[in-house]
Amino acid sequence: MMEKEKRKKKVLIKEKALEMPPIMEELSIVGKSAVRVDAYDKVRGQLQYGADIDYPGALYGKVLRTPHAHALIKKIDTNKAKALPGVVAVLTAKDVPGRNGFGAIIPDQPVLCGEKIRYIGDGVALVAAISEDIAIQALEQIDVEYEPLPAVFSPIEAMKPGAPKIHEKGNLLATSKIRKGDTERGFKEADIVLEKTYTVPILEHAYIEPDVVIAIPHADGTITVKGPMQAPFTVRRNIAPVLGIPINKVQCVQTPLGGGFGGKEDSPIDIGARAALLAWKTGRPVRMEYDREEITLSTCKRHPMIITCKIGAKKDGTFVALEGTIYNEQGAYASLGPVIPPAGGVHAHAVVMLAGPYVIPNVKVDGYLVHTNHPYGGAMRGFGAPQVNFVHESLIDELAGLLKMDPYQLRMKNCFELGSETATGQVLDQSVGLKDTMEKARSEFHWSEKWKPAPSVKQVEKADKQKGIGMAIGWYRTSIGTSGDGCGVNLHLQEDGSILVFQGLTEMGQGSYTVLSQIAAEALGVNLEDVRIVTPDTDVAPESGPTVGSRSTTLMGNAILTAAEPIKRSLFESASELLAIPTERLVIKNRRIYDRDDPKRFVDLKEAARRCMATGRRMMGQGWYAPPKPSLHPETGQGSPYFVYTYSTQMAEVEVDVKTGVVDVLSLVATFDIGKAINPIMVEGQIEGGVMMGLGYALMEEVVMKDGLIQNLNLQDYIIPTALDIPDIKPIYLEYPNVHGPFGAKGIGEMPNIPAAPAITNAIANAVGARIYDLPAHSERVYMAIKKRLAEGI
Amino acid sequence: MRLESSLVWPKRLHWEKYFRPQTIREALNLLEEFNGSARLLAGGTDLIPQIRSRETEPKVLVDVTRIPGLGDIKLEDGIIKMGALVTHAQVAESNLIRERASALSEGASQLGSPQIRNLGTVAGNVVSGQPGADTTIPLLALDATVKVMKREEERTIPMSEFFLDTGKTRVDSTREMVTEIFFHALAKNESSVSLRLAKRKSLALPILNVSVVVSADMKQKKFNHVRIALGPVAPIPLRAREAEGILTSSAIADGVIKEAARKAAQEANPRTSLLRGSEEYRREMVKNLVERAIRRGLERLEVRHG
Amino acid sequence: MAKEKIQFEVNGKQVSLEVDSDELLIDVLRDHLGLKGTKAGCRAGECGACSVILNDRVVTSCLIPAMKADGGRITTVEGLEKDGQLHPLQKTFVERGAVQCGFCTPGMLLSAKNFLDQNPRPSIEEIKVAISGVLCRCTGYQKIIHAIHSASKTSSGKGV
Repeated sequence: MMEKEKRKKKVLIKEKALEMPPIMEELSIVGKSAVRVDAYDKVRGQLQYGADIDYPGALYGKVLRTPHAHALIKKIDTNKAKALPGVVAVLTAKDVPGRNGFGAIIPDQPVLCGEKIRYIGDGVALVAAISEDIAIQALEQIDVEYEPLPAVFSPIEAMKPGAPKIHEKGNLLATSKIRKGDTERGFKEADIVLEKTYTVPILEHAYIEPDVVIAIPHADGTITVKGPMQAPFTVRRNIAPVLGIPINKVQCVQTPLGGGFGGKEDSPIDIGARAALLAWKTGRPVRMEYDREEITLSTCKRHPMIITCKIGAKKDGTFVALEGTIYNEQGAYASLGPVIPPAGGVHAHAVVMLAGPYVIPNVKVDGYLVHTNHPYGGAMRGFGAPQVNFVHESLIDELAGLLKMDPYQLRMKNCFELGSETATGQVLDQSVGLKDTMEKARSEFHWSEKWKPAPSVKQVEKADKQKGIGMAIGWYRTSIGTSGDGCGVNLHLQEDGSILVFQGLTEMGQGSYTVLSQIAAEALGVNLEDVRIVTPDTDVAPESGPTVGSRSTTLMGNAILTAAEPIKRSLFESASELLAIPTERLVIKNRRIYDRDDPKRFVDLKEAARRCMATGRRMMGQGWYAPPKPSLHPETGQGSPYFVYTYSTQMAEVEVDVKTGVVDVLSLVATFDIGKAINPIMVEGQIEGGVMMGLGYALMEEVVMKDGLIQNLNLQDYIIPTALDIPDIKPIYLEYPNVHGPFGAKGIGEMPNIPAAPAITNAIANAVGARIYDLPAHSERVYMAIKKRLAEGI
Repeated sequence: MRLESSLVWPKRLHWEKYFRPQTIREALNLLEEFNGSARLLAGGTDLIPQIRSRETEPKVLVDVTRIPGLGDIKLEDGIIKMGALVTHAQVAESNLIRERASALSEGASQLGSPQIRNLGTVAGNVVSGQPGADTTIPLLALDATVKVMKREEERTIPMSEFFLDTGKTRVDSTREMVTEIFFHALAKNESSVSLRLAKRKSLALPILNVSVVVSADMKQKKFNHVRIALGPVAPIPLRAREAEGILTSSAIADGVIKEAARKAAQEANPRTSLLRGSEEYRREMVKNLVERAIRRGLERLEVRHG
Repeated sequence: MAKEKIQFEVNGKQVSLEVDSDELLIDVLRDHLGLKGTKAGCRAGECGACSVILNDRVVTSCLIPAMKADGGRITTVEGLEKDGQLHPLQKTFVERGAVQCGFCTPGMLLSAKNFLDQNPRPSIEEIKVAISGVLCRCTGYQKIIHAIHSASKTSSGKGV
């Protein structure tokens, strides 16, 4: 009760603050660490993932990929391939019946390239054969004549006049900006100004389940495409125009994902469209699986960026101005980079987030989204935020050193609280627990006891192992900032009290099925096991949008609460008749409907449901939820781009081996304001997993490029953390209810991934007195930074 | 233009015949019979991925894992002998090797993962000819010898003469079979250390492996000799003989250890690699890890005599 | 290609099969025997998702020709439960939130079982080594380690 009272008070403090919803009765299932609904099947090895479903008689599809980074296609000869026994179809660009293009935002990626190719891995032909072996033989019989073109591999080079043009409209795909206040004047007023340039690399999702799909054409002119996908509606809306058929003739069905992390928002469009095309042309089911190396080679990546950032502050630490330039490398195709008005897409998001969760009166940011002949950037956990968070948290940390301030105090002095105004001029009118996350982290981590400034050169030279601590804070939106953001659900009550939920958000391990089931169960007063989420199927589920942007719990949760209302009404009416009690006195909970004033007077929910059926009462409800409309002015970047934010503070302790540069992360405390933990143990799971992804970003992950070719295609050379690389992680959450969220919830999926990397790199700086400006901080980078410092003697 | 095979990764692998000989003679006869198109299979942790990536396309696999008598580690007359089928896991779990050749124990424990260690053999690791292989480097420091059988003859090849080039050894894997690897168990005044630098702590290829054997008189504070093996710093695994020379019979002192480490770094010839690191860094790591390994070897002798 | 006859014990049952000499164990388990619990994550021995226990050793089945396993004893994830009762590891994985997407789960369970069979009283560090051959992208490993510890005798679990 104390917590709730404290929160209520805080909300009422600021004039513009929003009203809290009424305190609810004690919750039965929401807020409990319920065992996830698919856990048993998963530990028994019984859950069927996409590759586990057999399709006897299905053809095997394969993509012919180009080994060039940029080239014109002069000629494709498929005759030899077509003649191979067992080959059923060989397709090239001219065989695409509809639109030869797909893409999550702009359909600029050819299903099959006809005129030119733009990155190594671009698809040039498709083969369907009766076995994988024959399909591969066929690929090798296809002759393609290329005329190589000069390629460009850096966004700065690609923006120069005369650079090779990758697309007709040129290489600059989008610009986004923020203009707030007057940074020129701001910097003049500053006592100290610090400017640095940072680079962050291309990253690979490395979900352990490879991409796979089955496309089945039906005699009635429809087609089913089934496989792991985070966004079945996006896949559908891309496949229909490729085949030249209306959207309502394409059915996309999700199989449980073995990880997604944003990659499977985009890759199923690619593998799905290609398999669908083969199925359409052959009239037979076609199965395609991408190999691990093929996935790394061809599917979307995390955007690499080159970011220059300048901050100005008074000598007491108050921030007065921030300026930034972001060169955001989009790669060959648009994927999820460009702006979806007003604030959707990786690029707009990164620009909005660069100033961090700090009150800064003067902000100027320019972001350039640029094509190159590299693999393209798409969605990856954090969606632009990890990149810019590394920048502002590193810069501010370095500033603290120059000001001789504890980096905790410098952040505390400037960071958001309820009522703060962001760099886009948005006033945060609710649910801002950032400072509490900082205080909580500080006490759990014993920050003040452990804090010491970085060692002197002499100290570093004396001991091989140096310890240090570092921190970072961050914020992350719930949902995607587009005007079309919304999701729908249909709930059906059966006469035995069991529930069917028809919705289109997907389960990729994050636990959406369980959390949404908990919300439905709580709303309808049933047990968790009474709720069944029907496999997301675009033929059957309302438009739900993609499972991205940490939106699922909040948006779909709200939709479920709305959908529950008419069902509850029917149940109450039936129960009222059975009990002879007015409906206003009735409460629904734990499979019972009872009198609030006399709980011993109750009727089983099953009975009320039977009566609803018998009396022809409505037993279904539909919910549609769209968040408050976002706004972001295209010239000034002012507006309210996202309706609520989650906050996090992370503190890390590292030990650096000065003689090798190897960094051991010893412990990490990660605190979050998440509004409401619908399922606490799953929240912890998201935190621990996301923190490890952040650790990978900090210390080991990068897609290594050479002349446009990825050098580390397999999982031995693309390094993600193993069990031996993990620190002791302490996950902690706080609850500052979101007025717009079910039971106060806001998103958690991506936030953990964001401040982890700079918390670690700041700890490295504290340990050895040398900073890393380019990720990853692998042992060579750390060693060379130390070496440079020792040589300079400061 | 033909598709480069580097952009296709098949699921199904292909060979025509698979044999499981019960004796070494049978295995060697099969190799002769198929005249270059057969390969021996033991752990398969190198061969199977190589077949998948088409680095090698044998028509015949000769699975030697049924041959009895090749899976033992034994100590005979002060010599530790490991059969060709001894796995990394066996070495890692062997008390004998931990006590009398700790560098090999460490090398075998740090390689790959538990799964890879359960499958992969030390002989296979050595025969791969990789200049930084995790058991090759300690065995080189231990001055091991490899027993090889061909159709009628058996010969022995010292590890120091075993390697010809990256991936190439004096063993013709299509005609010959390693049957045993042996080395002198370390004496009381000898210790050994293996250090590994990699990008993460499991399932990672080494940036650098360093193994040393330190023989010293701790009472007199004098080195007898030190053997220093390292890789990958050249096409073949390296014995840093000039560095070793600096330490032979010298008094144990900071200065001479550092000098030897610097010399080892000069003898090494790493190239800048996109995945392993720059030449500058790799050379510095040779210096730092050789120094660290020697010091740790001395510490281990201290503990024994302490 | 002529078929070869092989047989082995899978999850306590003898099976006889006809396979091509170049088939891999992972495909024989999944396609011939319908045991889909063993997953293909990379087909190069690098991710551990295909782990099975062969003759009391956990190994990556994508690197093993089926012929090599002839006459052997194999345990897959489907073989952990007995008469409808979950193995203690399966129970603790469920209870401790050690499962997210579940794709690495079979590999983790078998690595853990093989390890606990030899080391009933492990330390946390030893558990980390035991699962260091299976990559997980979802959980960050922490709850998996706790689940394994909780199932072991160290924590006075009933042991395995």
